[in-house]
Amino acid sequence: MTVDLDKYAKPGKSYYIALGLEGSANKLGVGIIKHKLGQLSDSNRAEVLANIRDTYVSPPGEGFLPRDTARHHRNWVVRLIKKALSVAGVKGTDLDCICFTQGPGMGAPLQSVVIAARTLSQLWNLPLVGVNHCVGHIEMGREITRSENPVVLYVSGGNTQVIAYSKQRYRIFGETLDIAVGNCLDRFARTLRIPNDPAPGYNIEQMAKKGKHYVPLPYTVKGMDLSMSGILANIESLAADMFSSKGGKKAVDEETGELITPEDLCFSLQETLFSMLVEITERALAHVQSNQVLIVGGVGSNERLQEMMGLMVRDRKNGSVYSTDERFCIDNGIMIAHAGLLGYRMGQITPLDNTVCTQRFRTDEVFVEWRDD
Amino acid sequence: MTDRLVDEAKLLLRNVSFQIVSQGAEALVFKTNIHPYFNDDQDESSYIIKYRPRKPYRHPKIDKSITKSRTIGEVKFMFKLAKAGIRAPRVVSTDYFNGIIWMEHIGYSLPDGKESTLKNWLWYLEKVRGESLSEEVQRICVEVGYLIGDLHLNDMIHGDLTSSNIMLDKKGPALIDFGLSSYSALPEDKAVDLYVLERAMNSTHADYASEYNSWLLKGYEKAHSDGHYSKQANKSFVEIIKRLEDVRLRGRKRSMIG
Amino acid sequence: MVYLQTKFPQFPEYTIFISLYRGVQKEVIEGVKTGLISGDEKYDFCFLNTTHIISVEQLYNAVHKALLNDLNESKVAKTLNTEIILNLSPINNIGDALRRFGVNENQSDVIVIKVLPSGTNEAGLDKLNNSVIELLGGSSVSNPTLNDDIIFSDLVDMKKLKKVYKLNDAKIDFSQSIQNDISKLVIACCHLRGC
Repeated sequence: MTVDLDKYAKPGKSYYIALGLEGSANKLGVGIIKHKLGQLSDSNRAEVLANIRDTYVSPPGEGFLPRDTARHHRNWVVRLIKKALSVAGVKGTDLDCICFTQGPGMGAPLQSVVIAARTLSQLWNLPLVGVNHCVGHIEMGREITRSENPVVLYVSGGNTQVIAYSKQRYRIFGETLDIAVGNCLDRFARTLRIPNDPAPGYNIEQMAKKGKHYVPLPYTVKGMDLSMSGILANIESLAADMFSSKGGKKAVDEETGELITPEDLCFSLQETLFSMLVEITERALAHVQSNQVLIVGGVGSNERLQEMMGLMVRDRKNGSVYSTDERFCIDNGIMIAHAGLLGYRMGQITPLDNTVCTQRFRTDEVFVEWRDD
Repeated sequence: MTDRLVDEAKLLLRNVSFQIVSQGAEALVFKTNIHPYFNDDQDESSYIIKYRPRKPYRHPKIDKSITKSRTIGEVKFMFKLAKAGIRAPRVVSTDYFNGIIWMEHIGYSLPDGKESTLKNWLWYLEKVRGESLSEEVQRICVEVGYLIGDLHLNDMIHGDLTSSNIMLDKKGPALIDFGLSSYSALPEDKAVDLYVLERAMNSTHADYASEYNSWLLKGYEKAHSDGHYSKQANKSFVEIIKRLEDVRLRGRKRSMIG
Repeated sequence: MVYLQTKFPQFPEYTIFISLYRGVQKEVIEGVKTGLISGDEKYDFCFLNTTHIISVEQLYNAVHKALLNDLNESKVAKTLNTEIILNLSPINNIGDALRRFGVNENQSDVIVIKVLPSGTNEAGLDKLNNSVIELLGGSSVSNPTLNDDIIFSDLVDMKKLKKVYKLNDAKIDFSQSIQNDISKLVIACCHLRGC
């Protein structure tokens, strides 16, 4: 990489500090990151000065609504920003820029956060940098794991994409044709009335670990893409039968005759969804002739998904799987600060007029100027 | 190629010697001179064995079901192609239980030793003979376009049209590799199929892609306009091309909510 | 002494015997049927009529697939002989397959197939062929070479074959000599039985 990342460096300053605000879904994150001058490398890693987050948790059986989520973000943002500054030991005026999630995501929550960003920008006279949420995940994943050029599986409540970098774009190789995998899991959690604390997906994962029997579900990979709404409809109907008080035949496992339990359903759902994800990832690997995978996004913290991905890459000339822990794979502000700062260093400032948020913002729309491999 | 998988294949194929051709995402491809049940010493034909190995990351029940249904699906597609007179390798034998398809091998060795895919042939002409835009190339591209036109006229979608999935030999061009194939009458799906080929040509044969693509489309149009299939075909062609323009504008993928 | 013998590369433990007999009397065939139903060991062969047979290749494919199914423990029929007959059929129904492909008393041409241990030598095969000739009527029966030419010119009923394998809408020029092409289509069709 020979891109000059310091064209816009302030004279006399040997580092940059950026604040990042994330609120595209129910996690509100504030992060403060420091980059020293020069290329990012093993000897010049980005430094996390603060990574604060608060999650809006809705009651069991309910999802989070945009209006309530936006209200949560508005209530918490000032607190979190103050805390982040305090933890990082910096003042507003020490910052180089204010980075914020411009999209994709839910409209009202994105809006609340961008208003905070604009306010800070005016307050401290700092430029704004709009960041694509997916690119935030990717860049943070790359930085934390130091993986060279992996195929990225980005899986969260709102997104499911397989991405490979090529010529200054993160190109989408495969994606969901309807809902995101996290969304599928979250909605099933609601059907089963599983608690949303700490996260519905996490609770499904724990239940799945206790599941034994595989219940046949549709398997809907379509070429390089996948569809999940049919699987959700199918398993929700199975669950409805299970809990129906009307009597009638309860589902049993064909081989053992044992009753199918909610744990079995969670297990079957995970096995099916994750197999499909691993499959489309493998297709991308074959296409670009790589054997490195980076998993980012909230669902990436699922241990079974990581295990399955590991089994797949092992058969591809002993490739590797990279993933980050919940600090970074679940939505956070530091990834926005990091990706935003990379953009800032290339002069990609967002003028106030262009800071409108957008619910649809495709990963491949971003010009990844800071890479030239 | 991972040895474990090749060893598995050797075991399942029982005594048949083969060379490794490639490892895709889903299947391994081998080449052999041995016919499973009809060996004629004078016959120098070779055959392709496509093997879908078990995937260790999948639950065994999912794995068995997918391997079987995908293998059957591909055989069905190949049979329909044969019935429709669309040139493609013909099925020789199958073992659905183990995910194996034995089929005819189409193609020959180019002077540089590579298989005669459209991709390798075009590259060979470019590098060695420096004649990328000859009449012969035009003729072949038109023929390939015509073949794809025939495919779409039968409401069949290849799903992975690249210049590596088109084989050339004396009898003309043939389609190969139907792991991602499907059926659809929608102009949108046919347009996406064409778009994938267009993009593949642009990235693999950048210098002459615009000529190649226009010749391909000419052949594709001819299949629709020469009336050999149906008189309505021309209308379909117009609709498909309209969709192709839409697909080009937005990129293959739809706009997604974050 | 005219019969076909072959070994399949994947099944070196077997020798495949195939032979054609013509001029078999109706009563003899009825006897064969009775013998098959009663499980009489004398009739432990695969008996076929020739109506829907297009090539030697088609026969070999059916035997090969039957052996493969046997190996994978996925045979549908109880015996190998019946499994061979089933693998000539496009429909996954044993009764239907037997009726269509099995020996037919209204026809005097019979094809006989047997899978033997590969140790069987020339003399053993000759003996086998002779015993089949005896079984099917002795000197009144002829035993010409079974090959693609005789199949195409004398034995196959193309109209019925096309109907059974649903090839009437296939884009093949049936007026040309395209035995090979039809054979390949028929084989693919058999591989899609029940799918």
